[in-house]
Amino acid sequence: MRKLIHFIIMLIPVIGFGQSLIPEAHWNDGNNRAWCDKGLGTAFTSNNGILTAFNYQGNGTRNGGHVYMYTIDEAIKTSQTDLSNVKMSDFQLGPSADHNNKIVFGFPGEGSSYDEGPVLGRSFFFQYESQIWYFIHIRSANQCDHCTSPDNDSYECYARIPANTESKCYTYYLKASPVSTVWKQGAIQVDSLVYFLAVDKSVLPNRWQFQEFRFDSTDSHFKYNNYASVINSIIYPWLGGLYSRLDSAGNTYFVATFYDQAGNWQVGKIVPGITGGKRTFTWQLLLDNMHSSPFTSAFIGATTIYGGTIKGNRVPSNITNKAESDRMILFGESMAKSSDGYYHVQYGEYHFHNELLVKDGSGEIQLPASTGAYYVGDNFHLYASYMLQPKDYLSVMSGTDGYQQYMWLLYPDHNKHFNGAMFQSDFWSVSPDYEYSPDLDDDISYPGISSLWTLVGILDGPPPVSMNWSKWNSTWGYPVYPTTLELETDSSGASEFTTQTENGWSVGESVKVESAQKKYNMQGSISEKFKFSQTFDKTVSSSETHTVTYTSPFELDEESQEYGYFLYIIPEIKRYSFSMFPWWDDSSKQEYPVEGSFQYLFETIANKFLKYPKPISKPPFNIAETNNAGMEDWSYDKGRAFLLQQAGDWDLFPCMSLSWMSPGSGNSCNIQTSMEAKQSDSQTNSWDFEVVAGYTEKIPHVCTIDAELSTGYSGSLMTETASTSEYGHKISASLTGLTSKNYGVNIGKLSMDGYLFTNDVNPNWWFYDSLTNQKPFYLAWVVNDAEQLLNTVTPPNGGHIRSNDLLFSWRPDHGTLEDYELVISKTTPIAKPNIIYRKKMGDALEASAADFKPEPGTTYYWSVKCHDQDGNMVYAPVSNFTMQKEEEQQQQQVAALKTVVCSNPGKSEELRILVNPMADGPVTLSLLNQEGIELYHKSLSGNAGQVIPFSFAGSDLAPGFYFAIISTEDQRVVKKICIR
Amino acid sequence: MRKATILMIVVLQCITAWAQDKPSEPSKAGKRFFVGLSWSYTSIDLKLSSLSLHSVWFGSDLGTRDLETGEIDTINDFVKRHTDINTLRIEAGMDFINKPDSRWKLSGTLLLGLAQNLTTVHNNESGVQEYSFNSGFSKPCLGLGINLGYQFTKHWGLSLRPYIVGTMGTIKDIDDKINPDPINFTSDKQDKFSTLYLRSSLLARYTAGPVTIMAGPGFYYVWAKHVYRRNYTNINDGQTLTEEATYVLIPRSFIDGNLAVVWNIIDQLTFHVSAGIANDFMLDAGLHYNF
Repeated sequence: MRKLIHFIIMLIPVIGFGQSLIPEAHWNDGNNRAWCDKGLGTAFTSNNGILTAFNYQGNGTRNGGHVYMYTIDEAIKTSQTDLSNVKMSDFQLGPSADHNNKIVFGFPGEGSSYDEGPVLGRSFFFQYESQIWYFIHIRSANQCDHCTSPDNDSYECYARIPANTESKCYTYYLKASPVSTVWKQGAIQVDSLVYFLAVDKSVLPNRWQFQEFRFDSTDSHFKYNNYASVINSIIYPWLGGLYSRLDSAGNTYFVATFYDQAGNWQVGKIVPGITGGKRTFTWQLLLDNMHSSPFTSAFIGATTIYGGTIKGNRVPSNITNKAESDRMILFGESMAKSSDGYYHVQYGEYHFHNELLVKDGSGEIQLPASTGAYYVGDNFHLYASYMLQPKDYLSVMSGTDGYQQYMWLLYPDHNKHFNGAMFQSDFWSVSPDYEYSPDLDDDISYPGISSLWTLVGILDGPPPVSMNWSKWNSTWGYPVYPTTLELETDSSGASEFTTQTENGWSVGESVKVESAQKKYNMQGSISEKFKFSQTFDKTVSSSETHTVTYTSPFELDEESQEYGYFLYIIPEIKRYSFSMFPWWDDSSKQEYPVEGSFQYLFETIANKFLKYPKPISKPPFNIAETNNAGMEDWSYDKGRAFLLQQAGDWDLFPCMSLSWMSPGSGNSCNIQTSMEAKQSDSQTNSWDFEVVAGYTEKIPHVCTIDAELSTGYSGSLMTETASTSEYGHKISASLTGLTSKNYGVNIGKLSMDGYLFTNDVNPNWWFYDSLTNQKPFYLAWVVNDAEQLLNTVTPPNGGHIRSNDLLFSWRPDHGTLEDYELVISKTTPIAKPNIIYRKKMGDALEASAADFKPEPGTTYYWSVKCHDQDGNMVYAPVSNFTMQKEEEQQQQQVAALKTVVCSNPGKSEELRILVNPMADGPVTLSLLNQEGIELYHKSLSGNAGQVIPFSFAGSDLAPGFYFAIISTEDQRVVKKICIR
Repeated sequence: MRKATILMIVVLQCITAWAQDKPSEPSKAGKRFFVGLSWSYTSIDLKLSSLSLHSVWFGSDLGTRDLETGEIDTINDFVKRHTDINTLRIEAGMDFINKPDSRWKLSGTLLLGLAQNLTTVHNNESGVQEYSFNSGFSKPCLGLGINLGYQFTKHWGLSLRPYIVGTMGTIKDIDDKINPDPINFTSDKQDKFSTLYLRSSLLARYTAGPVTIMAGPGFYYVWAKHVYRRNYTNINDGQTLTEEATYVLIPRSFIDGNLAVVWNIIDQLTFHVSAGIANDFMLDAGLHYNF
C-alpha cells in the first residue's frame, strides 16, 4: 500500500503538469546589450505604456559604471515577424547638447573607478504620485591610489523619469558609511508616504522592514521618517514582484512574492494598517513552495508575479471560468538547469476569491531553447512588466478609447542578452454606453450647480449714465441705447474665453471625481488596474480645450441698468465608462469585466458662455443707486473711492476713457491693452450632490448610477479648468448714444475711466474674497470730474522707432495739467507689478528718458498720468512703440543726435521739433524752404539728456514743405516737415 | 570497481581450472564459413560532446546556440544520459586464416540486424528524468567484426577482436517531460539518431576441448548523434514553431573487462557469448553454423 501511495505521489508532477503555454511572440535584443552582472541591477517599467529598461553596466576598466536607459518595442510590435526586428533602443533624455541614455548620480568613482561597484539588493522602479522613480543601491568601488580596498561606503541612488525627453532624469544619491546592510528592493505609496521594502542583512535570519519616507518637495528628496515597520514572517531575502489591489471594502493591499535563490519562495498579501498611530504592515501567506505550489520543479530560483491575464495561444473556449477575470500569474524560474542548458520557467494562474488565490492553471512557459532563461552573475533574473497598445475599440469616443495590454516576461539568456516572452493580456476599453449633460447651466433644476461653473469675468455692464428713462424712451420711440459695451470689435475680433478642462476620473464605481493631484496621490496606493487611465491621461488626452466668444452687446436700458454681470463658462460633460477585460472577452460584448477596474471618465466636450446678471447693488459692484442723477455711487471720490484706492495701490492705469458733453456725441474706444493681453486662471470647481433612493430627477444625467437607484448615493462632480480670457483690443465701449441732455439724460456731461482688474496684476484683489477660488477679471467704471484730456504725442502709437527717435512727449487737449509722471511697461494693463520705468516730470511735456535702456525688438507700453487744477487724476491713453531690431538700426545711418518732429504734418503752431543733443553745447535749428532759403533760425544751449523743444508758433510760415536742419557742434540732422 | 574485481577472480579461476585439462584441436578445422544469429545488449552512460539548439518560431529564426565546452562540462556534471541498445542480428563470416599448422588465425564477420535504442536523460539536480527516447526494436543495424588470433601453445593463445556496429533511425516514441505539449498546438516530435559502437578486445584465450575461454581488457567507444526536433502547429491558425536540438554523445568510460566463451557444440555448431563489464555493460551471445 505504501508503495502504491509512493507511486501515486511520484506521478503527481507528471499528471499535474497542466497547460504548457507558448507566448504570442518572443523577443531577443538584436543589439546584444549585456544584462547587469554585478547583482540585480536591471529593472523594467512601463513608461507611458512603453516597456522601458534601466540597466546598470560597466564602462570598461577605470571608467566605473553607469545606469543606462533603454526602451523595448517602442513601436508596440506584437507579431513574431515584427518583434524579430526590434532592437533595444537607447532611451535618450536631455537637451540637444546633452542628449543621451546615461544616468549620472554623481557619487564618487561613478565614472572613474576601476570597475563598477556591485548592486546591493536590487534596482527597481516605483511610482510616487504620477511620476516614476528608479532606485539602485551601489557599493562603492571608489579606491584611492594607495588604498587597499574601495571606500567603505554605499550609495542609495534615486532618479525621476522626466515628463518629456528634453529633460534629464532628476537624480540624487545618499551616502551610507559604512556600507549599508539594509537593502531596499521595492517601494509602495500609501497615502502621501512612501514605504521602502528593505531587507536587513545584518541579522539572521534576514529581516524585512518597511521604511517610512516622506517626499520633500523643496529638494525633491525622499526623507526618512526614522520609522520602519518590521515583519518577521517574510523569511526570504529577495523581493520578486509587487503590485497593489483593493479589497472588497476598498482598502488597499499589496500582493508580493519573495524567494531565496535556493529553491524557496512564497506569495502573500502585505496589508497596511495603523497601530498606535503608526503605519504597520502585516504579512498573510497565500502560497509557498511547501503549500499549494503550482510548479512541478521542486526548486525555484526566482519568482515574479503579474496582475492580469495572459493568453499564451489559448482561445476563449480553453477558459472554463470566464467570469473569474481578476487574475494573477505567478512565474517561477527553475533553479536546476535543464539538460538543454537553460533554466525552464513555469507559471501558475490564479483568480481571486474572497481575496484568496484559487488556481486556474499551471504549467510550463515554453521559451526558445536557443535563448532560454539563464542566470547572470550568480543571480536568477525574472521580471514581469507590460506595454500598452492604444486602441480605438468603439465609436462612442473618437480616437484612442482603450488599450490592449501585453505582458512581457523578461530574462537574460546564456549570453546575458535581453529576452522577452510577450503574452497578450487584458484590454481596457470604453463602454458603448455613456451619459451626457448639456444642461449644466440650469441652476434652477440643479440647485448649486453654479459651483461647477468657471467664472472668467465680471462686468459693471455698459458705461453707466443717469437717465430719465421715460423721457428717453418717449424721445426715441424705439430702442436706443445710450451706452454699450461689447466683447468684440470689428477690427480685432471677439474676446475669446478658452478653457482647458482636465479629464476627471472616478476612483471606482462611485460618481466621485477626484482632482488630478489627489487622483495621482491615490493611484500611487490604490489598485494597479487604474494604471490605464493614468496612461490615457499622459499619452492620449488629459484635458479638453474649448474656446467660446460672446458677441451680443451689453446695452444700457432701464432694466439692465440694475445689473452687473458675471461671465461664466459652463461645461457640457459626457461621462464614459471604462473597465478592464480579460483577453478572452470580446471588446464589443464586454461580458467579463475585471472586478475593481471600473472607472468613469468625465470629459468636458464643449462649453457654453453664460452672461449671468447680478444685482448691481451687490458685491463686488456695490452700486446702491445706479441711476442717481449725481452718480455718486459711480464717482471716484464717493462710491468708487475704495475701488479707485485699490487701483491706486497697484498703480493700475485705466484701460478705457470715455467722455461726453451735451450737446454732442460721446466718444467710444477700444480697450487700451496690448493685442496679446489676456489673463489666465486655474481653478477646481466642484458640485456635491446627494441622491435620494430612486429619485434622480434633480441631478444631471452624468451623475446618475442606475445600479444604485434603490439605495441612494452621493457624489461630486468636478472640473479642473485652466481658463484664459483673451480680450486684447477686443473690448469696446461707447457713449455715442448720448447726444443731448434734453433727450432724457439726467446729466449734461460725463467722464469716466474703465479699470481692468486682472489676477496677473494682483492675485488678491478684494473682490476675489467672495468668489471662493475663482479669480476672474473685473471691468469697472469710475466716473470722474476731469474736463481735460491728456494725449501722448511721441513716440507715435504703434511706431517702430530707432533708439535715437526715442523721445517722449505729451500734451493736454486744452489748458494745462501738472505733476506729470511717465510710466513704461512691457505689458498691459499698466500697473505696479509690470511698470519697468517711471519718472516724475513735473510740468515738462517732454522727456528723453535717457536712463531708460530699451531692448531692440521689444514692444513697450507707456502712459502719463497727471493732475488737473482741481486735483483730479488724468491719464493719457496707453500707447505703445516697438524698438527696431539691432540689424535694422545698423542698416540706417544713425546720428548721435536725437530729434523728433511732433505733429508733422501740422499747423505751424502745432509743429514741434524735440532735440536731445546728447552732449553739452549749442543746438541750432534752421528751417529752409524748397529753394534752400533759410526762413527760420534759432540757437539754444543744450545739455546732455535735456530735451529742447523748438516751436514755430508765431513764425507765420506759409503752408508747404520745408527742411529743418538741426545741428550741434559735431552732429547734423535734416528733417522734412510739412506745414498745413 | 566491484565488477572489475569479480571479472578478475572469474578469469583467474577459469585459467587455473582449465589449465589442468588435456589439450585439444580446434573443433572447427576444415570449416571455412559460418552464419549465425546473435543478440547483444549494450548499456552505456553517455555524456554530451556537443549540443546545438535552434529555434524557429512562427516563421522567424530565433537563432542557434552552440554550447561551449565549459557549458557542456557543466551539464555533464549533473545530467546522466544513458543508452541501452539491443540488437538482434544475423551474422555471416569466414575464416581467412585457419590452417592447423599456422599459429595465426583470422576471421571476419558481417552483422546485419535490428536494433533498439533506448536513451534516457536524467537530471540529477532536479531529480527529473527529462527525456526518454525509445526507438523500438525496429531500427537497422550493421556491423563488421574481425577476430585475429595467435596460438602460443596447444591451449593458449591471444585474440584481438575489433568490431564496429552502427545503428540509425528516427524515434517517435519520446517522453519529453521538460517540454510538455503546449495547449492548442499539435506536436510532432522526432529524434533522428545514428550511433556507432566500436569495440576492440585483447583477450587471452585458453582452449580446453570444445570450449575456449577468453578474457582480457576491452576498449570501446560510442559516437551517438541525435537530432531531436519538436514541431508544434497551432490548431487555430496553423502557425508553426520548431525547436531542434542537435547533440553528440560519447561514453563516459572506454575500457572494461571482457570475458568470452566459445563452445563448439558440434563441428557445425558453435555457441559464443561474451561480456564486457565495467562502468558500462555489454553482453553478446549467438550461435554459429559452420560450413
